[in-house]
Amino acid sequence: MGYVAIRGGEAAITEAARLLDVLRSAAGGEPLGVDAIRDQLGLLVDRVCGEGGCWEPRLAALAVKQSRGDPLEAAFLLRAWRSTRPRLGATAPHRGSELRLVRRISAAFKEVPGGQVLGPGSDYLQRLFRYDLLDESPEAFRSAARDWFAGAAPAEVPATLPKVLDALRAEGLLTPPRPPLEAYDVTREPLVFPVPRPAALAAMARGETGGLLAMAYSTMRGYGYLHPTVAELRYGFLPLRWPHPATGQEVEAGEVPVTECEIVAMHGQGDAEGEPPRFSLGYGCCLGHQEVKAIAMAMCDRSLQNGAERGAQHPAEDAEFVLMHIDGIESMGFCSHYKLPHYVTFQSDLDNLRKSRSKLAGGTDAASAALAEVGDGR
Amino acid sequence: MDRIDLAADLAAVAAESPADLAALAHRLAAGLPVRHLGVPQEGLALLTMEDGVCGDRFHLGEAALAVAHVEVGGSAGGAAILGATTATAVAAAVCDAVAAGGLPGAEAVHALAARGRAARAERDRRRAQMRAATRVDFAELGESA
Repeated sequence: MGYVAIRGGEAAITEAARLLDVLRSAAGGEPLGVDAIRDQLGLLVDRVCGEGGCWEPRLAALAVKQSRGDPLEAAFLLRAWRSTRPRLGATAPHRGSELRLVRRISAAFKEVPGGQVLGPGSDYLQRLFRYDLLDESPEAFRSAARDWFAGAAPAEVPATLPKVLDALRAEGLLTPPRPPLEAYDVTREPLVFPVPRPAALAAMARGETGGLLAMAYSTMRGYGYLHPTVAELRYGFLPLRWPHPATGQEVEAGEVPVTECEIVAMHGQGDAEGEPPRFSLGYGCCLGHQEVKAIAMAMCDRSLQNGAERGAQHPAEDAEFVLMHIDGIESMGFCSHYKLPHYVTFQSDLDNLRKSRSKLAGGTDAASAALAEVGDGR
Repeated sequence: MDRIDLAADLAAVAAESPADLAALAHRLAAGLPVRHLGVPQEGLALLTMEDGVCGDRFHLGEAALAVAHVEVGGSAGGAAILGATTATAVAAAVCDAVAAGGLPGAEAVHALAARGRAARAERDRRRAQMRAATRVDFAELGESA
């Protein structure tokens, strides 16, 4: 299929872009501060960072503002920005066990070492409106955090906690360790199938939440057979270690919020004959506080491993099907391009249709003539 | 003070009040020769993770990072700070060099770093409060919690 450039419309295009800004302020009110977006719409900013593949919350907040709240467009802006930045290097491997936790739950065990910590979450809430927020006073807004944090801190719960899976692993109930695979840079290397698991994990980590969820949901509804249990879901802040430029020793350059999920799926036979059955596992991890995405990613990881081990039997077990369709920027871009002028390609379609109908009706069909009129712009 | 702690403290100052960091570095550099040992840069750090179930390494994403490497009065200093500008990273590197070399002004650097340490402690205290207030002991029906 070929594309042909079009001419004209520059003034209208310029005004169309200006209108985006005009409509932002047409109803009056105060402009949204970028810091307020970052702090008060934090989950949206986290999503933009995750799908943009870059932790830069202030620019992600700006992207939300500029795109008038469209997360795909905002992630596109952030990813475009990151493509202009130099790569300073890659960190040494970090681990989820290093997270400074504010939330850590397990659906597998009531009692886990260090305890379960709900942290901020709406899991047990009814979805009812809080109408008081319609007319929230600045004082009420500020006092919520001030009053809560003014309370004395009760008994200490450690900031870092051991992994729930460690106990199952110690019992030999999980797949035994194998030599780890090295990271694969999906931002610089194409996905050539079959891809190594690190490429799949990286692609899913910056995948679009809804896309990943759709794939994972298909396995929940029967296109696959996982029925997983969330062994552990944790959210916290990862201290990013980077070599000190003068000493080379790793120092903490700051923190990145991360959500991590480890699932236990159905058990199966060991790799070799006579080996006892073991649980299979799945892993999800993403920037920011994105629990649905982390769980969906863990399910897709397990599903893709199933597909790699015994051949894909369901869509979500097919690496190419999953990984080529979950990138929000790519899929949104392809979808959006259909609304741009396709006059020449569509004209070709029309010509073909006319010829086909003419052949069928001996060139006298009335509908064919009508179509020809439309195609000629009459 | 441990240089690793100093780096984390200065990174905290850079996040909270970069202007104070810049002002101190400007004051320190006024009396000492400053030489760049590398080009200060703003760029991206590719964050590598080790997955928790198989141990495979993968890239979680990138993070905005600024780095600087300087020599102040014969003492080398450096900084690597998430979300900072090169100017802020250079300021932190100057402070790091002054503190590491025990140069004039080192006490001021330690005083500023103490503010960063206090900010980190307050941040940790708040998180501890969140954890403690939401710690839960689930029990099955029929069990006592």
